[in-house]
Amino acid sequence: MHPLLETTRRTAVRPERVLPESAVYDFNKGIWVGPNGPLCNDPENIPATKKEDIEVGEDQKGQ
Amino acid sequence: MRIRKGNRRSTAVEVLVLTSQLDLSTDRICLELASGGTEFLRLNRETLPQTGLTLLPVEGGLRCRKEGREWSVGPDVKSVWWRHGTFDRNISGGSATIEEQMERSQWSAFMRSLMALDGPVWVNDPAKVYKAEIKAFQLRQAAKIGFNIPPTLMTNDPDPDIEAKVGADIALKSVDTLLLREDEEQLFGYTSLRPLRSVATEQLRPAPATIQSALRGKLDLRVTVIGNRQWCVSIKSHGSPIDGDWRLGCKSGLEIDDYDLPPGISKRCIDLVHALGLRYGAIDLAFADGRYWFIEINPTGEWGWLDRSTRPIAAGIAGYLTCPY
Repeated sequence: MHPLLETTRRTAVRPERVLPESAVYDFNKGIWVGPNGPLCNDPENIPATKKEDIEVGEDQKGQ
Repeated sequence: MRIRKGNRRSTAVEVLVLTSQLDLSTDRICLELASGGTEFLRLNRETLPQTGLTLLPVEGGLRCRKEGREWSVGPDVKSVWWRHGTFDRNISGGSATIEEQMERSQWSAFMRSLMALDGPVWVNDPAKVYKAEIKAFQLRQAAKIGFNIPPTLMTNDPDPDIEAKVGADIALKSVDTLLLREDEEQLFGYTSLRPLRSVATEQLRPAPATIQSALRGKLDLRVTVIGNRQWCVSIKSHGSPIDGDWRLGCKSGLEIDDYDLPPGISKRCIDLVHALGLRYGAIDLAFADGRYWFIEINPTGEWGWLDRSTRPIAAGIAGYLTCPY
């Protein structure tokens, strides 16, 4: 086996990220707003690591 | 500024935001832009068909219409915040219908076509992002600026002489992001610290890899740069530096603290971002053996995980987008 393949981490294919259920997107403001205000101010919704655990390379990278 | 055209009112956009709908880090930028009274337009790639978009490639302008409102991206636009895949190639991935494939390919091309807007400052310029993401190019530019870089090879050749270059204890990395799919599972390649003898074998020949001298006992550092501003943090686990790739450990034990870089290293970080033609960059450094080492730069790296009142990155980005000169 190729050395790179020996140490890959295998996980289930991540499903598409689901949209927040209790929030609405405000197009004019460019933000998601939940019952307690902007979701981006809620610690639960702040990215937790540098790749937000979406291991597809650096987020939003040019492919 | 609002301009009336017949019965239609058009908003002259100052900052154009191009991203995806669940990019909550960019939500924070939008909040900052709004609080500063900046007129901005955010377009998310998943919901583009819900708007009416017209690009004027000859004039270098863009019009957006939605629910009775209109935005005009013209001479007043100062900057563009670009957080997109730059050149999406996996258009037909999964079980997409031909309609879906067409939508993906043509919207992707449309977003690239916005590069016709050559008046505003792009953060970052997609063409520069594409080049800056090439790890070998990054390493070369960083070396020219004066960063220490662990001895590095990219090779598929199990030549015994490799050891003379990189030593017997190495960090094995892919040449580019390694994300593979097998049935319903995905495989992701992380940096692994290994003895060279387990890598420099005939098994290496089918594909090249990056082989770099291992940094043991390193302290991971993340430097976020926007314009001439920067924030640096150290990343530790339970009070100790992390051997290997810190993403593989338990996230709950991670400690992220502000870190003061020596002025010379700070300057190199800014210089590297500029040398790559970027305005924003997230740089990974390591401190080991009394020296600072360059690991990589991510032109569109995530920063929301670092944005705090003591590290106002969103405000810094919004400020730069509003006044990018």
